[in-house]
Amino acid sequence: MLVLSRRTGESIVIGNDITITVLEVRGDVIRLGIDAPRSVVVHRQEVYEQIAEANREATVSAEQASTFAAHLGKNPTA
Amino acid sequence: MTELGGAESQDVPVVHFADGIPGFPQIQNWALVRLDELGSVFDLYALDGSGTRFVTVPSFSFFPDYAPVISDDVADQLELTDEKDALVLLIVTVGADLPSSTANLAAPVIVNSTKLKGAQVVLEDATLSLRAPLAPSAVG
Repeated sequence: MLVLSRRTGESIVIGNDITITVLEVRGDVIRLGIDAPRSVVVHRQEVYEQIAEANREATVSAEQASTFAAHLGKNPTA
Repeated sequence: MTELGGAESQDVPVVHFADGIPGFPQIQNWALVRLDELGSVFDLYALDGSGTRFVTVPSFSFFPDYAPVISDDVADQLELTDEKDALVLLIVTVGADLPSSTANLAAPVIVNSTKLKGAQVVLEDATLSLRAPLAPSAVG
């Protein structure tokens, strides 16, 4: 892992078009500003991991999907 | 900002997810197929041959008040200009029966039903549940 020291107001540049700036340091909380193209998705890692894990748990077989649809047919919404 | 929800479901065959789906970032093309005539449940399955498959439900079927707000960046990425084109789907974690099944409200799948572009959007609202029970409004 590359380790760099930065002060408030200083930035790092990743590739040609991503800039991350340290906006504020208060105790153990650091506010970062991220400038990136819209095609680059930025997530808080722990949130992204939670969603990814929930997705992995939610995968079903074709049979499970049909069974669920059948359950729904017996208990229609509204 | 674009407010979503309440859109009518439409039959959309192949949807392109430019960023994949969290946990499956490499899978961009997904088929979206209705599993019932009412359009109250959809099969979302990967077209990469991996057999990856989700059950999804349109948010208005189970959570009529759910109206996620997506950023302009996401709307632009999906080329969403009219909220009527937005189909808001929730990924279901299927339980043994309907009451034990849950839906992911924290990260809805938004599909532009005209352009066939989709994304699973991680919402900023930390109070939204990853596993909200489907049951309350479903069984009368």
